[in-house]
Amino acid sequence: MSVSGFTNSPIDSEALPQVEHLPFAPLSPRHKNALYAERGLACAILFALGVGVALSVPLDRWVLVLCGSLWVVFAFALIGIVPSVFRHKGWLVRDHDISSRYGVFTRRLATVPFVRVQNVAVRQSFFDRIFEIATLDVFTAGSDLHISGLTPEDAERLRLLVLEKAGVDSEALAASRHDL
Amino acid sequence: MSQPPPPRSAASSEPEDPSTHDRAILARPQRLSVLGIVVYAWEGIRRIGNVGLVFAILAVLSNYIWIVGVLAVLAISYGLVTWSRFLFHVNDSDELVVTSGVFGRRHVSIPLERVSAITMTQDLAHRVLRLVALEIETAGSATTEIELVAVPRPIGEALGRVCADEVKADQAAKEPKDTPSTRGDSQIPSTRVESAKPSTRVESAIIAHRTPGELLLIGLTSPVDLGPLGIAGLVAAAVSQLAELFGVATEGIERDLIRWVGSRNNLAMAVALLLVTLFVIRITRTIGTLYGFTIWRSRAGLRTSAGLLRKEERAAPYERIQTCVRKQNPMQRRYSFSMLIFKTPSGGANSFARTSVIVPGTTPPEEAELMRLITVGDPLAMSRPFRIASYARRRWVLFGAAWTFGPILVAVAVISWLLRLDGQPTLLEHYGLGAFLGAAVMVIIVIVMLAQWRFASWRWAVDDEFLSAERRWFTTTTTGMSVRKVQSVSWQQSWGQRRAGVATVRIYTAADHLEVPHVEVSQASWLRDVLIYRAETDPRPAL
Repeated sequence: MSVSGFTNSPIDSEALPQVEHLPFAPLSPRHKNALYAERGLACAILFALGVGVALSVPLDRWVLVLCGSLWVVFAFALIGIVPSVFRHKGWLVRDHDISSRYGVFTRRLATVPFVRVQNVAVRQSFFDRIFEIATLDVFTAGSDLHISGLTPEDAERLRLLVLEKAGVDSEALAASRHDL
Repeated sequence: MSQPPPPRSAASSEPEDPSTHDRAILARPQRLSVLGIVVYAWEGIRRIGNVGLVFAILAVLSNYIWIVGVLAVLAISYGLVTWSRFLFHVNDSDELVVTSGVFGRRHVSIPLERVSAITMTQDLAHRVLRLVALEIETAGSATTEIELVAVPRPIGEALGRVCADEVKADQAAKEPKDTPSTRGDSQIPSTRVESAKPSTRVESAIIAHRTPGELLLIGLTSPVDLGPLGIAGLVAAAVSQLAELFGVATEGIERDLIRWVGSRNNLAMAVALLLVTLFVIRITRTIGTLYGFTIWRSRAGLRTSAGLLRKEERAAPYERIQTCVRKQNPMQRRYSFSMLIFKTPSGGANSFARTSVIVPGTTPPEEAELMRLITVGDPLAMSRPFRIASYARRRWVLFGAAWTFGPILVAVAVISWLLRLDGQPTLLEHYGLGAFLGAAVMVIIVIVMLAQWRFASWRWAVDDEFLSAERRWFTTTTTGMSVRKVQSVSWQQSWGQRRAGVATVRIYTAADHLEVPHVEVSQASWLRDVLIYRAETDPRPAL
């Protein structure tokens, strides 16, 4: 084993931390309200379009009943699933990487090591500004990682933390290259 | 495959101090060749678009030819001004600097060590005037960062060499003296790592050259892209012949088609002719685009050159190669060759082809030599592969059945409804339930067999240096990557996968991603953690 910053110890697969078993930080509760608002607006727009079509095109009664029923089912599903969507979202920062999990039916967990971070951004959409939340984007040369529904303060703190960690980890690796 | 004498560009005697000479000719800000005026003028015409073209045609038809003259003068003026405002050079900080723009000025600086691929193309005009067009790519953008539309060939080659030198120097500065793979202190099996031979990279030498005969064989063994017309024709001919075999009356479109071509045999002949034509086009295109294909190693990395009318040269520094892909269909396996693709970092999914070095007709010795050049082992070899979980087979049967029967059932229901509205018997009444059930059983048998075949062929392997996966459909595709090039890892589970205790792991590099589907959760978890651990701790450069 090297005395420098870089070590390359044998990997004990049992000892490796299982990231999915670690406690993920929840998102801001305001994110749940934003999800309700976004989806409610989408349902309202769909309803308005449907009403517009129904008023302008003569349709059979059974077609109207079928479309109305489908809209009700769709709206209930879209809005009713919000608590579950919110519950399954989370983020986790470890010493050397950052992870994000999301998804209700298909659960996804993405992890980016800090040494691979190219740049970090914080953005706020129109709804984000209304509900005072923000999204953190972590970019690599491959795929990117996004954590939405953070408080702006958390997003900014995370941005600085990721940048700092990326710099520290990269410097440690660079030092290990020269020491070896 | 054969090895003729090296081309002039690869084997010509280099200057005593090529680096100094190259930098000297690139240091002075210079314009493109005057052919650039024509290229930019043509670009100006293209910018006018189809509306402008229609406008010009209408002007000619209306005897207003002077309008076309004005448009031509405007296009040439645009080309002249754009060309005159375009300057490029390599500065003292080893950056390629390009200044362009007629009204607003645009300055682009690319550190030469960040260049991931250079594509050099020659259209007919370029070849006559001994010029080249250069496309310079980095990992940072989805589009080509810098395009030099017409420069003298020596300038293009000098730029390629200078970029390669910078990449090599950058990698040497980052590369630790002792790599994890050579120290051997990892417990993950290291079965594919051999000693690196960096010295072989310095000498220019041809690795492979394809003769027209070999290109003909490559064209003959490549799958024909039928296209929608070909597939429709094939299906129509098959249905028509089956209908004749079983004595079924012809109806609808088929009846109209037969009336049009004369008879059923004529229809079959027409489809056969279409297929032969597509096949001939395919072979001609293969020979045309790959004519004189040569790949050689050089200081600039791997370089390829090919093309009959439009000659294209690509160069990718060895260190920039992120993933290797080998594609081989049964016919190519019969002749013991395959197609190799080396992918370098790209900013977007659509630029993969542009930033890849493609080697058609690669024989095993050529593949071994290429692997020795780009890495310290063979990322495509799998000595102790793992299988995926048997859940994959059940899922593929289920999804295959859903995707096959869903559209068919919808189509049958709609057609039957329309027939009922028209007062005719429905399809079920016409053909009977037995025919439908028999066809369904046959389709299910085919789906199960295909799912089993696909499941049996999927395998993946990982060691302390490489991750690779192989899947076989009609073509066997093997993908390999260095674990140190991993950028991020994603892990996902659908509802069905959670119930079955499996997960899908997707591993991203700067060029591509590799997906290992339906792996036992414990194994998937281990794979993800090992890859992240490697990415976090391996000191060697990832890009």
